[in-house]
Amino acid sequence: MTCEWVEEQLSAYHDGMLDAAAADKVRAHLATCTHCAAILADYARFDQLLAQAPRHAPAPELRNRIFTSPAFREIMHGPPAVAAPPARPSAAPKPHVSARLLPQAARVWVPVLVLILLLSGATAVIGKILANRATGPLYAACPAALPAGDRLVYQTNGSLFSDNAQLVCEARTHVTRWQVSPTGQWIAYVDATTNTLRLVRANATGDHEVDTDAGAITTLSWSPDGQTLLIVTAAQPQAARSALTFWRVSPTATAATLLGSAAAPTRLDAAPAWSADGQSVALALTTNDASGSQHGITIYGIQQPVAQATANAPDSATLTLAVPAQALGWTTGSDPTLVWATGTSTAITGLGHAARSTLGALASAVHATLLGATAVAFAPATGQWAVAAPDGSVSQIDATSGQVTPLAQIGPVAGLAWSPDGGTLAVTSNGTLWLVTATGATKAGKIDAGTIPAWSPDSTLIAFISNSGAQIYSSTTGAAHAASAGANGTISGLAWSPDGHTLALWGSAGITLDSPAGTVVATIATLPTGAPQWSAA
Amino acid sequence: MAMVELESTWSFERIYDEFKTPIYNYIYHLVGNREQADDLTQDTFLKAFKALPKMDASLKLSAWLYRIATNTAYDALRRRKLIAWLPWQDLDHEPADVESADPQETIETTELVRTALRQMPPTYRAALLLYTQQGFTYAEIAQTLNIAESGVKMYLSRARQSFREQYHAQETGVPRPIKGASR
Repeated sequence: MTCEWVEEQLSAYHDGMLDAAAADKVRAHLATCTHCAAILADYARFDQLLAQAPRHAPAPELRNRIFTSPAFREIMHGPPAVAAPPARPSAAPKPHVSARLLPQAARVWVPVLVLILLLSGATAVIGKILANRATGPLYAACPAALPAGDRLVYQTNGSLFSDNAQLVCEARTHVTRWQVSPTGQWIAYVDATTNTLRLVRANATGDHEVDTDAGAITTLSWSPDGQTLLIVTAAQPQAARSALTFWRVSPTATAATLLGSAAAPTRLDAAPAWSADGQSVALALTTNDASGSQHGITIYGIQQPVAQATANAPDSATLTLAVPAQALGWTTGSDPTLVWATGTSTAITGLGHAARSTLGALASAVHATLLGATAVAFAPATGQWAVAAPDGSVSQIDATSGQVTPLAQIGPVAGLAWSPDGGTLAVTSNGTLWLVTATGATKAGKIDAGTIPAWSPDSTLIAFISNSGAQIYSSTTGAAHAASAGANGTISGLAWSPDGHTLALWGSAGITLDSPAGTVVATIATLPTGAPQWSAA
Repeated sequence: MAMVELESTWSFERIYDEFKTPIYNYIYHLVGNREQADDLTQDTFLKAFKALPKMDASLKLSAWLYRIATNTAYDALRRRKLIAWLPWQDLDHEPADVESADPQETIETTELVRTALRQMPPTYRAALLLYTQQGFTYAEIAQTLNIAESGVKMYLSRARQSFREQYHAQETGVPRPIKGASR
């Protein structure tokens, strides 16, 4: 047996895909051949490196690019008419319900196809779609005012629903992007058929259009007090970078106020960050012009003057950065401090901060031991960054003093999430959820990869998705508190109601509302599009 | 990885939300360019949405989407070669990223992985990514790449040999010629 033959088998041997006889031969050879053993060790190491390589997610704007693209419109509605089409049978009787998976031609011929399929006994997908869609939410006329209370808002079939009631009028909407205000009182949504922004109260009243002049709406961000909505529009929404315009609007207004714009191709590097008082919003931007890429943070004042503002832009100031900001936040208090983390999408390399009252005392700190951090999270309540270093350690860093406090040695960190009070840090690593405080780390349980745990509003409970369903743990004891009784099928997300009395779970079996003790309170047999959000009418 | 069967109630939005990150990540690692990955992800989903109503209900959605993504990326890589004759390069690897790169081991390792991947023949790269990052079985890879299961064994063997050569070449700073099939 030669090394050459063994080398050809090593990959399959490593994967357990050789038959027993061949595997025995390879095993015997490896016992005496350091050369082949080293190759096998490399294969194991490289598989692990590739499995742990940073995962890249598409820009949030891509969703809008796809669902507003001419190609998508053509899929939904057929190619633009160039001549009068020949006479055809009228469309299916409930086009809004069935149309979303079917192009124009299919819609026209659906009744015929369904008849053929049913007659032939075939179980084609179109027939199944139609059969199942009939059991979905009913489309009523414009809804009446809904009673007060916390309600789950979800999107399905291009419209918004609150519990089982339709929240917006069916006739005019195909909702793509939407956001409930932090106070739960208002819902901002984009109607893709007209590319307009609309606002509706959580009780289904006050639905109105907001004039933003031009451009496609790519980002919505509410101030924490729910009094102002930031709107970002792009001149070329299908491009990765585009001229951007920034607007603000109060929920009852019908026209947005221009904040500013970036004429050169620009992208948002991180989610916009609002100060707790709703008076300032910071945007991390990278602009490409003839001189190259310019990175910075632009701060807009809502009703207060902005420090470092110029005569040309009296309501804004820009901090120039050497590298893009990947995360932004504000401390709380009467003079909040803007904080940021800079680096690449896979490695954080620096932290910086500037007090809002001056914005001139730009300070950035680089902590040598934390360079290349794989995850960061900021807790406004305490002003602390949580940082996961490449060596598997988790530390907290005071955003303004820079003081580093080691918290725990965990391992490769996939995600960090502070409790709302900033007292406990949830850390996911190698499929395990850890609860970390200043006094130590507790292993809470197995968590499904790629899922995000949900903290209860009072920070006492954390809910997360495991392969055995949704689990609820106590952050104070680190012990299991409850398991969801109601969720069948695969759970894809969860969220606590604003009052913390209900946990919503959604996935392949629809939506389940549980009590904190895991008891099913209600079920909604609808598969939502994207993640539902809680409102508070 | 469990294959996802096409549920009758899946909407286009739900399919996008469910698969956007793994498909984008896969395409990104195939082409190595973020902006191009954006475009190709868009092409992949639009092709899928257009074809979906014609597909049978027993469709294995996951493998089917990866197959579209693979072919879309191959086409783009082929076009890139025909048009430019440029070496594989990460066009969105901006100067700022280079400046901020720190000589920490993790960053270096990540870069070595990226570089080794980009030096590999695309067909082998796809097989290796599907196996190590997406957790596909040999049968699922065969279905996705439209090859026989025995071919997967050969693809992965060649892929690992190629990755190992390129990785060590980067470590020692000695570039190696690319061997094997290309598309």
